[in-house]
Amino acid sequence: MATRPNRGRRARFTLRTIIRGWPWYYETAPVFPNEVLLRTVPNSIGYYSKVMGNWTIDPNAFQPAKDDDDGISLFREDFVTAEDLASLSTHAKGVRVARVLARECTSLYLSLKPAPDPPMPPGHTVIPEMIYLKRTAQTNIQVQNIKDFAQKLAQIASKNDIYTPPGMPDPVTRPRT
Amino acid sequence: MEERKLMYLPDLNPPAIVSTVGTPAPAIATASAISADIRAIQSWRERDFELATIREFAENWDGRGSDAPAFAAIEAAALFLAICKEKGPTNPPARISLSPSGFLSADWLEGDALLRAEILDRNEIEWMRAIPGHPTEFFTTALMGQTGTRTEQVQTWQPAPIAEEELALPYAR
Repeated sequence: MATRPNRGRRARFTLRTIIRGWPWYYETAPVFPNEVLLRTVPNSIGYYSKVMGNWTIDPNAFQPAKDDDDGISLFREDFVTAEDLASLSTHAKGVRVARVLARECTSLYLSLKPAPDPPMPPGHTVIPEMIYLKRTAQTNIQVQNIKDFAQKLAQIASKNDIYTPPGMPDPVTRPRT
Repeated sequence: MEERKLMYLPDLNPPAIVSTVGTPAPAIATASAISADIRAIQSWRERDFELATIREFAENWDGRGSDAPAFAAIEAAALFLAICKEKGPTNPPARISLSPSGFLSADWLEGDALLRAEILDRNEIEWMRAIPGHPTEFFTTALMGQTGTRTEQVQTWQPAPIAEEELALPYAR
């Protein structure tokens, strides 16, 4: 007997998702160009700095981690709020949540692939062009390309508001001046 | 009427005695230079303190399962910052951070440009110079033989310029 393919979780109930066809709007659906995508920014040293002009968000926040063998993770705001995403993080000092528009990603020739994953928050999406690569002589150019994508995404995200959970601590205790 | 006349008597309004310094500009320049030096010293202290904190990062320091920074990578970063401090004491990096790969990055803003040095290992630094709307440049220098000149250009890469006219996403809904 044929089984129904898993369509993942349903979108949040908002005006935007109603227009997009809620309740038939599942997290396996292709990403709309005007969708907002969320990226967690660890509350770590240097990752958010207001003195850094176009790069208030550190490009390292968009660099793939060693588990990102299918690309860096973003989350669709139609399925999860920035507040919920921040609260689900396991980072000891919490995370901020940056926002980018889907079409801003695709304008860099990046793809957005829905990748629902039940242990992950809803709306999980990956950018397959930004996978983790160990730096070698053979991968050096690819690593540089990924670094460039990361700094461009950081510029885009830095233009937008970033969500900072209330009471977030300073990641480092500053010396007295 | 008499009072009014008195008000204009020259001896009641003597010209102010102004003592002038021959050239005040050097004094002002010195004061602002001292202020800039103090800011630079404070920034260097903060970077040193941040590096010391990064040195203590444990595994999963970013909540994404990244490894703790390798001892050699942090030692190389400390050496790089020491060289920068010696060669350009008034130009500390505006930011340092650790990448998920475990290498330290140091950033400077040069006008609209971001200059990033990633200290890869004991003797290699990869520089990235990014300017909005221009191709990003990468080049590498050796850590130990640092002369301040960046010679080897590895790659210029720009898939597409960032659309400057894109509206920012406000959080008001």
